[in-house]
Amino acid sequence: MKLFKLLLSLLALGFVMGSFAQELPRNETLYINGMQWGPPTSFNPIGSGVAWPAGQTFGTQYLYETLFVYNMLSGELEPQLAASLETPDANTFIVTLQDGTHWQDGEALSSADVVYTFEMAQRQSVSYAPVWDYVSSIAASDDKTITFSLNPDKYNPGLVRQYLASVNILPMHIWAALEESEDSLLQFANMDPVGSGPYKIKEANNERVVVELDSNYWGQEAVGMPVPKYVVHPIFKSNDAGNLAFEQGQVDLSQQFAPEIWKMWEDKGLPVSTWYKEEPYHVPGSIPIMFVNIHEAGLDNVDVRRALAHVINYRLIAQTAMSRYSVPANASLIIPSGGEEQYYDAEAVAANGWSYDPQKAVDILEKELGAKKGNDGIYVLPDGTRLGPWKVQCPFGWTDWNQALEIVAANAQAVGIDVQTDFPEFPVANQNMANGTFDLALWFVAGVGPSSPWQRFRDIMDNRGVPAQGETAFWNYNRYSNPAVGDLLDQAAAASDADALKAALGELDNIYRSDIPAIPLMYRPLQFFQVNQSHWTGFPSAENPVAAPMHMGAGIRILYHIQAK
Amino acid sequence: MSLFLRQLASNGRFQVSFSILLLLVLFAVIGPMLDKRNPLFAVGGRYDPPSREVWLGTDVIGNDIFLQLLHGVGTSLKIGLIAGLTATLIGVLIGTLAGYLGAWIDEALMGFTNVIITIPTIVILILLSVSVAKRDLTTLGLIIGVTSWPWTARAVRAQTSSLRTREHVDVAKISGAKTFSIILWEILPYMFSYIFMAFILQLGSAILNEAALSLLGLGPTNTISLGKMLQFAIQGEAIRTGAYWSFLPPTILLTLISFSLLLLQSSLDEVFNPKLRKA
Amino acid sequence: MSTFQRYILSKIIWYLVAFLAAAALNFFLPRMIPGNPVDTIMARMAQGGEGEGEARRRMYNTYMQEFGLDKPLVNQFGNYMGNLLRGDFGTSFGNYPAKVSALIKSSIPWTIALQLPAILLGWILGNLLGVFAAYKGGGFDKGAFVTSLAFSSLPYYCLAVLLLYGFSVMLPWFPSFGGYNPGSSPHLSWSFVIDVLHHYTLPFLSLLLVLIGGQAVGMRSMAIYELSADYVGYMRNLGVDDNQIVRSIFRNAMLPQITGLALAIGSLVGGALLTEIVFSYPGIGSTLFTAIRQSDYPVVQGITMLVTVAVLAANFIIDILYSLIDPRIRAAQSGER
Repeated sequence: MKLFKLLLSLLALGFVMGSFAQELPRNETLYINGMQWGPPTSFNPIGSGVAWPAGQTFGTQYLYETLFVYNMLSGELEPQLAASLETPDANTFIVTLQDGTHWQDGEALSSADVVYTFEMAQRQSVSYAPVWDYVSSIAASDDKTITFSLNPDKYNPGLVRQYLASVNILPMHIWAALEESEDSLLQFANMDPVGSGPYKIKEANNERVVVELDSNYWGQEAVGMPVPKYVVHPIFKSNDAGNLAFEQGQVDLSQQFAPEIWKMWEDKGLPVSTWYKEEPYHVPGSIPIMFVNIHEAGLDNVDVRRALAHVINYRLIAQTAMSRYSVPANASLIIPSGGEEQYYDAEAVAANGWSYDPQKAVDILEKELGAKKGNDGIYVLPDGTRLGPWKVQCPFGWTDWNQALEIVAANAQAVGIDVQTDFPEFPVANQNMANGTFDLALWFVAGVGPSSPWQRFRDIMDNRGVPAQGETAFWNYNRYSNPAVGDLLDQAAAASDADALKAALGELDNIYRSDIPAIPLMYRPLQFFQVNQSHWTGFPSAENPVAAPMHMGAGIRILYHIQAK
Repeated sequence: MSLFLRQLASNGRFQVSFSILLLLVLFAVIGPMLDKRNPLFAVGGRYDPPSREVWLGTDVIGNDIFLQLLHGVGTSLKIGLIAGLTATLIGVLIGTLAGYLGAWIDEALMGFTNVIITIPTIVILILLSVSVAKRDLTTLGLIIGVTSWPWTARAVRAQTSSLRTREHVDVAKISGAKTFSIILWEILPYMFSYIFMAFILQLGSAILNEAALSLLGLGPTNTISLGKMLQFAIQGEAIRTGAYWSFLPPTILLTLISFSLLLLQSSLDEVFNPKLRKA
Repeated sequence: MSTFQRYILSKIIWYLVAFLAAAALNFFLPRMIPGNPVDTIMARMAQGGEGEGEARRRMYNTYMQEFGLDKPLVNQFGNYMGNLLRGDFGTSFGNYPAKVSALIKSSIPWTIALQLPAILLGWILGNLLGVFAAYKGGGFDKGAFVTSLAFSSLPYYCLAVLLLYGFSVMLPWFPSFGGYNPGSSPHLSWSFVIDVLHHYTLPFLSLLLVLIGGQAVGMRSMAIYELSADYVGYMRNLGVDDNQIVRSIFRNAMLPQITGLALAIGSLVGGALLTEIVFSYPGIGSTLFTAIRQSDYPVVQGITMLVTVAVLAANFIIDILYSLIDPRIRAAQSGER
């Protein structure tokens, strides 16, 4: 009995420690998921482990805002805190702020805050510090105007635009004081954040994060006012828990990988939808790509890599692991639809690319390379190099990736290339990537954004600034090099018009196809966009494209258009 | 011994559990010989329901569930055997040494055992499986064995220290036999049945531990086991999407293996400990 | 000093040694996980933004210093023991900058509330069932024994999967995940308590049934040994009624079962892990698992340390109780050795 009492009091204590929040009215509350998985421990946008909505990937513009927002449908930057971006000459960006911008505490938001935020990167270890490689000065000419002078030695206007659309502007009147008082700004948890966006943090605990609309938001006229009074992000312990809640209408807007989502409306008749009603249901936005260690005996042979590219059943991966959310991957680093479609050269891909064709792989191995099958069914090259065992890795628990690699390994084994899966914990996989110590590895490269697909080519092909194997690299993990790449990348970065850019990217893509340093396995949306309209309607879709299907940048516009049912 | 065997053969529980186990072993040994296809190679789409061609349907990446069962049972049994043998060996070694030698060696060995027992097995298991470079079948079996010996050690020690005072042990001691040979010839044979039963329990718990590890994504790589099948189903959201054919078969087989091993153990217990039979 | 006091003292010393050894194990075991925790932090930052060579290196060094990971392992161990004695578990790497104690505090009530009642109730019901089965014998015994054996051999996570599919997907009677409805937040009201209990049912049952099975099987064989003891025959001959006899058997057979209870409490965290994962139930198990995956040493250490202390404490109490209840043990402890 005593134990029981102790238990009750413990339970009660747990409840008391949680806040006494009232139930939120359903018709004023939007429930979302897939953006926050652990307990929210920090709303510091420059720290690590930042919780929704203060991070850089999800929910930007809710709390903190950027100067511009990126729209993945148009590929353009749209005004947010800034009203316009002018380029009087190739080396100058002039940014003008909107009228009446102010912080949630009422203080005016001026050009000084913008300059302060960028200059902080010269003092603090923040993730946007490299912006100073590409700009030489950032100066305010008046309260509303900021001039960015681009660095002609490292000329890359695309990347600068990326920073304009990704750096959260911070209030100088608060952060300047924090820089003085805190030992480490990165360690500052910032649990009572003051931003400029339409939402303030109302509640944050292990079970959920709740934000409440700021009726005093500066941008009601200039950019728009979100409709939901509250937005709640419940913190789910697992993917399927979140998906079930979504299916049952407890979540309205979801950013989770929800396999077989069409069943929800086709079989169960639920008011669920995605961007497209048919396959692939989502707008592709990134390419999970399998890096090949081109320094490993066997894999250093480009024909072996070509054979490997032919053994993979891209359609099966798209249909099963990616749950039909992808078209079969192509032999190109450019995404064939959406904002990058204009650069995609379908003819070149068809002429010089590859596709699932095990017989072709066998022909390459046997006829071109003269490889023979050993007793164990695995090919051996004439010089005695056995094709494998090679481990193909990706982090554990990334289910669609794990499943895709199971297919790759099985496909390769079936033809006679010994590939085995390996799913280490994320930190291990990450370290293997950075050090280049892997055989084959599925990894992420830049998705669609203000500087894509340029950045993706850089991530895979640029060897400048990449240290030797064993040291930490941040792109080009397999230390691929081709002397022609550097100049072409610089040309593409500096391209003044779309034709010049397309030409440079086209040449880069050709080099990529002839060297095959990495193999795209599938397409993935930049962010999953799934809605259950049981409680809220008016969400955008391919037929009603009032906002882009994303949870960052221009995705905030979704909230301007929805209505409670 | 033959008396025991006759008693065993007439024991109902033994008959049931032994036949189930025999069937499972046959299933795991003969099955893959009859069907030589690679269980890791897709035969259909995502969660195709059971059909005439694919008896138990397919899993999340289109693999044949029945084919996977054929191979999975074998893997689980192999890991169980490796782990069970390892745990029993370590447990018997530590238990007999502690029990027979007594004094400070006993205190030290049992102290060590008790400290190990205080850290939850699953935690050590996870830590070890995460840190090994290669998680193949043998490594995983060894890891599971290395973490589960303390119970056997405790039990064996208790038995040994009671056997130690028996007359025949004293006789051996007086006639100048070495410690090792006394343990081997005068102690171990008297608790063989006991050790065997402990082994059966270890075998069962090792199979379940493999499944638990696999469920956490730490199962053997490039092989299929019952635990991995279950993990694939759960991770692939089979429960939500109603693909019961992907998680019911491994669940049922795991239960069946574990049930028949426990039943076997209890029937052995009954035969070896006549007191139980009388009741 | 009486022999009893000496016994207690030696026990206390033994437990202190065990505690120190376990503390050392807790420190070194998590460090066997390959991969650097700072990489995790860095990678998470890189996922959204962009970061290049020099800036990344600077950030990397900042964090290495902050966590003291740039110091030799021996110094790190010294720091750890020092902080531990002050009750400071440190800062989480994975949920930076949250304190480990805060993370544990917010998840442990759920685990205790789920596991402890299941363990206690399972223990009591299982033992009662075991004694009755042994005493009654015949058909009842057979039925109870086989059912118990079936349940105890059913891995609890398998039962969890079956219950989840049966009673929340096929027959949507119970919610399938979480500790309470995601739409509400913890507060004291009847509707909330009912909501919590509704979510509680399936995970609780999945543990309870397996525990009852296991305890009943163990108790039954204990009780059968006791049944053949002389005193039972006497009592039967004297015409003592059944309940009385069962009570006596129960009391005598229970002693070894108490050890089982202590152990069950020790396995609480391990047991919590898979249940919490299958039901997406809040608690210490999933916190621990995430921490291991992220090489979050401080959290792993904090939780394993807590469990170790709990198990040692439970064992200590049981040792003392045992020596009070059972004079044979007291005699053996002070006499022979």
